[in-house]
This record gives sequence, C-alpha cells and structure tokens, in this order.
Amino acid sequence: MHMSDALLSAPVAIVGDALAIGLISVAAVIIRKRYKNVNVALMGVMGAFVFAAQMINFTIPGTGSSGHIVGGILLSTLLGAWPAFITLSSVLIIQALLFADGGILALGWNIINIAATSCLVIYPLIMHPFLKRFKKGYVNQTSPKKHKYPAFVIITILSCLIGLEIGAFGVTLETLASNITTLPFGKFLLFMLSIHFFIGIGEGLATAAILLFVVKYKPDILFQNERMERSGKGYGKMILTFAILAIVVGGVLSWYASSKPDGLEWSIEKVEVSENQEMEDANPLHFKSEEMQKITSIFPDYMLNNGSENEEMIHERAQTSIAGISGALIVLLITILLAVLINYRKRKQADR
Amino acid sequence: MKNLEIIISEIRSVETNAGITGTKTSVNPCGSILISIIFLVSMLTFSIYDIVNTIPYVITLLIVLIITSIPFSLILRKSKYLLLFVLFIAIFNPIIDRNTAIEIGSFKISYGWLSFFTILLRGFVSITTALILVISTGFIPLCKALEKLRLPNILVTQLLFVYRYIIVLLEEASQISNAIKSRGYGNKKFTIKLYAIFIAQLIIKTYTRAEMINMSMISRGFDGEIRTRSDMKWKRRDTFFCIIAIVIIFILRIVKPFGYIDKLL
Repeated sequence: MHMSDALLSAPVAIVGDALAIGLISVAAVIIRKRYKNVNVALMGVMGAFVFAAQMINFTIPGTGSSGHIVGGILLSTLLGAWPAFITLSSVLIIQALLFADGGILALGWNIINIAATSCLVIYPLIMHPFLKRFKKGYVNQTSPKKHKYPAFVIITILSCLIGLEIGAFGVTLETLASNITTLPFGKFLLFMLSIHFFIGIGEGLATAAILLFVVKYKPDILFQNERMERSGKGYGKMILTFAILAIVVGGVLSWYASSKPDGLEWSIEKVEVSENQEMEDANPLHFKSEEMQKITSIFPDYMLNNGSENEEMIHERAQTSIAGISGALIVLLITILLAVLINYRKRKQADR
Repeated sequence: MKNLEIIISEIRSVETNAGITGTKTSVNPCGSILISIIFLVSMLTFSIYDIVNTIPYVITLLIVLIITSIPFSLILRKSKYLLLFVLFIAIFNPIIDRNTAIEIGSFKISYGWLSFFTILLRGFVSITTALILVISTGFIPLCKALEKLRLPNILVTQLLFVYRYIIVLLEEASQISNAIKSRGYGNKKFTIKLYAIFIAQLIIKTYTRAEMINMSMISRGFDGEIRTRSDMKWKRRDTFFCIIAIVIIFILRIVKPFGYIDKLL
C-alpha cells in the first residue's frame, strides 16, 4: 500500500525523503562500480513492464477479490538487487507524478517501504542464496530438476510475504510517528499485517508462477543479471549487515535509552541549578537558546514534534523507534557516503 | 481484468492536458519542484486538528486550477484510489476520538471528525499539487530538472525510459489480453495460471525488445548516460515567480488568513 502525504507529518516526511535520496545515490555509486556495462535499456524497459504488470489483475482463488503484483522480488530476480532498486524507485516516482499515488513528500517512505525492503533486504537475504543454488543445479543438469520447483515456490512466497509485511510495518510506524491516527499501535499493526498477509501470499504465488514459466520458456533471462555483475569484492553484504544492526539498535534498544539527560546535560543542569539560579533567571539569552533548540530540533529527546499528546506507552515506543531507526540510518548513510568519497579520491590519486 | 485501453488513455490524459495552451508554464521546472515541496511541507507542519488553517491551502490550489485551466474532473478521477486508502485509515479517528472540540449551539464537533476532515483535505492538496506540477511543466522537463538538482543520472535515465515504454508495453499487454479473450471460448475466469502465462509472455517480449533497443543504442554510441539538451536557464521571471510563491506560502503559514476564526471559537 502506498504511503500518502496526508498521513505524514512534516519531520517524518523529510526524514524519509532524505533517507531515500541517500539510498539512491549509494545505489548509483554501487551500480557504477560493481556492474560492468549496465544494460540501462533493459532496466528501463523492465520498469515499464512492472508498470504494465501492475495494471493486470488476477483473481485470487476461493475469494471474489483480485490482486496484482508489486514486482520488487520479480525485478530483483531479473535484474539484480541494486539495479532493481533504482528501477522500482523510478516506477514509484512516475506513479506519484502521473497517477498521484502517494504524493511528492511521501515518495521517500514509499521508496523505502516498497523498493528498498524487497530489493535490498529481502532479496539478498532470502531469494538470492536460493537462486544461486537453483541456477547451478539447472546449468549442471541437462533437464531441469522438477523436485526443486516446490522449494522455489515456497521461497518466493516467503520473500514476497516478508517484504510486504515489513512494508506494512513501516507504514504503521510512519503513520503513528506522525501522530495521524488515534488507533492504538497494537490494533493498527495487527490490522495492517493481517491484510498484507493475504496480499503477500497472492503476490508470492503469482511471482513464483511467472518465474517458473520464464524458466520454462526462456531460462537465459534468469541468468543474465549474473553476467552483468562484476565478480569479486562486494560490499553489499557489509552494508546490509550494518543496516540491519542499525535498525535493531535504533528500533529496539532506543526503547531502553534513558530519557533522563545524558552526563553532560545533567552536570550542566546541576551546576546551573545549584549555583547560578539567579544568574540564569537574569540571563534571557539562555532561555532563548533553549527555546530555539526545542523548536529547531526534529527529534527533541527522541520524540517527534507534534501537537496532541497521547499517553500510550506503545505509541511512545513507536515514536522512539522511528526516531532511533532514522537516526541510526542517517549516521550509517553519512558513513557510507564518506567511505565511498574517500575511496574515490584515493583511486583518482592512484590513477595519476 | 481491467480494460487496458482505458488505462492507456488515462496515462495519455496527462500529456494531452499538458498540451493545452495556457496550461503549460514557462517557469523553470527546478523552481516549480522546489516551490511544490515547500508548499506541501508548510501544510504538513500544521497539526491534524487544524482544519481552519488547512482550508486556505485548498482554496489556493483551486485558484491555481482555475488559472491553469486544468479540468477538475481529471483530479477527481486520479485521486479516487489514493483517497480510498487515506479514508480507510482516517475513518478510525471519529470512532475512537470522541472528545468535543467545538460547540456551536447544540451542535458538537469531536476532535476525531476534525482530524478526519483535515486528513482528507491534506490528501486532496497533495494529489492536486503533484498533478499541477506534472501537467504544468510536462514530464520530460521535470526529469531534466531532477538531473539539474543533482539526482543521479542513472535514476533520471530510468525515469525517461520507463515513461517512454509504459504505453508501448501496455499496448503489447492489451494485444495479448485481446488474444486471450478472442480464443478463450467464453472462458471468463482469469486464473493464476493463465495470469502467469500472460505475464511470462510479456516478460519475454519485453526482454527481446530491450535487447534490440540496447543493441541499437550501443551501435549509435550510447555509453550509459542519456544527455539532455539543457536549455533551462534561470531567468528573471523565475526569480519573480519564486518570490511571489514564497510570499503566498508565507501568508498561508505564518499570517494565517483564516486565523481569526480560530480565535472566535
């Protein structure tokens, strides 16, 4: 489901956009470095294909409803993780502009929820290791091993399902962090996850069936992204590990982060309270600066700025989590960007 | 299955509207993108109970719609799916939050309803802003502007490619769908197996097409970057436009034209 501008507050939206732009720049650098002669035409036309495929609905057996694919896992299988991420992002941007799906400011979170989770997290973790073995078995065998097909279907369903559920979880967190809905965190989450459970299974089944037919009719399509990739060092896995660590640290551990002032703040407070009470009263500048800091900081003490107050613990936790996650991710992105920059300069110097 | 021809004409509607004289602006696209973002951010900084200050944003956009002569029906048609999702989440607010916010005589409005309507208005504003942006500037100038704003070239190339081939592939899909319909002997069930064959065929056709495009591009000296002729220069009237827009946003956000209503209540 697309996140919408209407369900976001300004700071949450800006954080999402900044993260998405950072990820896209990292992806551009990685594609330039790791993929020799990227088939830009193939990426672009496949993006248009995903667009067309989203317009075609299939009936879900047993129910009267119908669904369509999102295409993250399908694209990653056909193009590889990073090119698929860029392609799916461009599809999302076009949807936001031509179909008004989501909106301009919500684009950042949409790219993260839909493109980044399925292409950069789920595909390398679940789908890619399996596909590698599947392809090896396929190449060595003159006739395809039929007994591997059920495993193929299960893995595809699993990765589509987990990808969608993480996306739904993201939508829930972002909506709550923006303080848009008064729905309690637990109920909202349950609601979103259960809806996306069925969508995920539908998408997984469809993706698996499509891929199996592709394997049957024209298997070389499935093998071509490996040809594009340069063998050798890859820092995709390293970045992935750090991203997961960041999410865990920022999302879970931040609940236990002390809301009391840290050492320095505490000591300054103490000194000021004990000694300079009168002086502080007389010094309006101090108050002004504190006020300014309160206004300008996006996450005052890890809580997002917003008008109304909600007492619920879980709600607070969600807010703390999202502030923590985005903080950690921003730090991670800055580090990666720096590393890439330094590497680039070194290589340039070496070239001279 | 949806009628694919309708979808094709839906996509073309943006382009045909962009062609109408008076719709297209000659403002620098970089300026329009930045102004749209500032406009939306300034609206989102209001709290969701602040319906009084959100209404001026809607009015401003309606005025822009009239000036640019973009048909209102187009906006409504495009927004129906998105507003459904927004509605779906916002509808819980009036159910849960029943504290009275405003009392006019015996008529009470709860905080839940206030936030509900504000969210819907926000949805409308965001959709309309995006559509005005793309219709008034056109998609390809927007892509050029994104490149000027330092987005990676590969993303911009992708945008141009996807945009170019959407309609081609939709037409291809509609051909396959017509073939299925005409040979299906009245079998109207579109099962998952049939669907998978459909999409797999489409992938294979897409792939062959992409190979041909790639080869022809390489043979014409393509090196991975699409170079657009940059005829975008920042002129004096662009500065003028930005200043006026920022003044309007300043009035909407800081001066709050409807702020006095808040004080009355």
